[in-house]
Amino acid sequence: MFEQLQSFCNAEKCFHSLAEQKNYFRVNTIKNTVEEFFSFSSIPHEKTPIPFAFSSTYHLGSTWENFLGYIHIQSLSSMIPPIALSPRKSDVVFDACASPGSKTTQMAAGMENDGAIVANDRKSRHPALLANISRLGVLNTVVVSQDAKKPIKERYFTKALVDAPCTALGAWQNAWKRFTQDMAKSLSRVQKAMLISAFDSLKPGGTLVYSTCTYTKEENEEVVAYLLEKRENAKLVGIDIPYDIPHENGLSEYGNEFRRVWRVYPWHLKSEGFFIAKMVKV
Amino acid sequence: MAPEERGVFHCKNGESMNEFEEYIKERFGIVLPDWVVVEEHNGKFRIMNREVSEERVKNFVSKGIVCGKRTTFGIKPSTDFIQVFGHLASKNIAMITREEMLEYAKGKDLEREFELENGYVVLKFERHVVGVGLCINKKIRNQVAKVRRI
Repeated sequence: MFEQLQSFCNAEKCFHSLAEQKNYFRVNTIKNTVEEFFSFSSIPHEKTPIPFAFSSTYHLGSTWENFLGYIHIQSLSSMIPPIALSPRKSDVVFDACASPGSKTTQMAAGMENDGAIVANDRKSRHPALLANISRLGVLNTVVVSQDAKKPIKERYFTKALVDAPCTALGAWQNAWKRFTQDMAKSLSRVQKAMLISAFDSLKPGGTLVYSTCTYTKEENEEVVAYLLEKRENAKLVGIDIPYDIPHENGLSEYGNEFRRVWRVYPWHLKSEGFFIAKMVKV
Repeated sequence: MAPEERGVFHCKNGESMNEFEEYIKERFGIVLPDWVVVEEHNGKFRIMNREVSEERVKNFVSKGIVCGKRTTFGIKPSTDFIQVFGHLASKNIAMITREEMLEYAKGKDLEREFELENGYVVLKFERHVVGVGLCINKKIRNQVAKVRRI
């Protein structure tokens, strides 16, 4: 099970440390600041490197804070891609694979419900997305259902997030049991098409973040390298996050510039494993 | 073809109030100058920011959130809408206890009587807007959708 990944990451450690993941939640700053929230909430919690995110051993789903949309249960590492993209109030953002909406609603909070997010996903995945948008009071989002392998609008968005469907080796142990190399190759083709399409939908000067919750080269560095090869105006840039988040750099066998991408393994944050790359359209 | 182009949305662009806006102003004293409310052909109203209302994307499924719908009792504001904008309400507010809030979030009606007129009311616990209730003969019936209950 581990042989195919062993050459570039500690596969056994990746697998076993998934069992040590903590539960995390994010304070929904659309409704309260972090300070306001903890002035009334008694949810036991511990701080994380991200100031609006906390770990808790509490059963968060049945709290009144969750009912009121004051918090959202979300893995800590999945909060990194929206932070890397850092959309602002004036942005028009394309979220290519939005459901269940954790990153969409996090971006909406960062944009203070201003600007616009076009959140795309398959129709069968809309119920979770719409439920989270509604509960968290997100008013700056248009939900669409289109094939993410084709540009929804060319040269239109200022920012785009492609959190692509993947083999999910960083998310749960069962994914390791069903994993095959063919699966990774097949998903890699889809991911390449999605990334190209999202890139083409950006305005010149736009920013794109690509992320997955898996470790294979085919689904990560290879996908980004494909974009850089196919689009001369795509440039890989560093992930400048104002928080101290432990990570490893990308695989340099694809070029030194791949040291700019992040590989977050489960032991870094006691959370999901993630791959994150940031590109700009020059 | 986008729903708008089929005439599903009747966007007022905030220039004149639609029935939902008139209702929440009259019932709760809530005025929403910075947001756009549109009515869908199925009797539901949606609220969104201006940028989203002007976003021209083909085949969109929804914009913003459902803020209300037409019912046999008149227009019913949604729990999600009231949780965002209920703090702007100046009338028809029922103050409830922490225990009542927890029961309400589970889908229970409120046991005690409230000196309020019949119709929809905003439920508040301290500074927290819990949702919307339907007051009938001083009793408040639960309006939390099953999927939202804890």
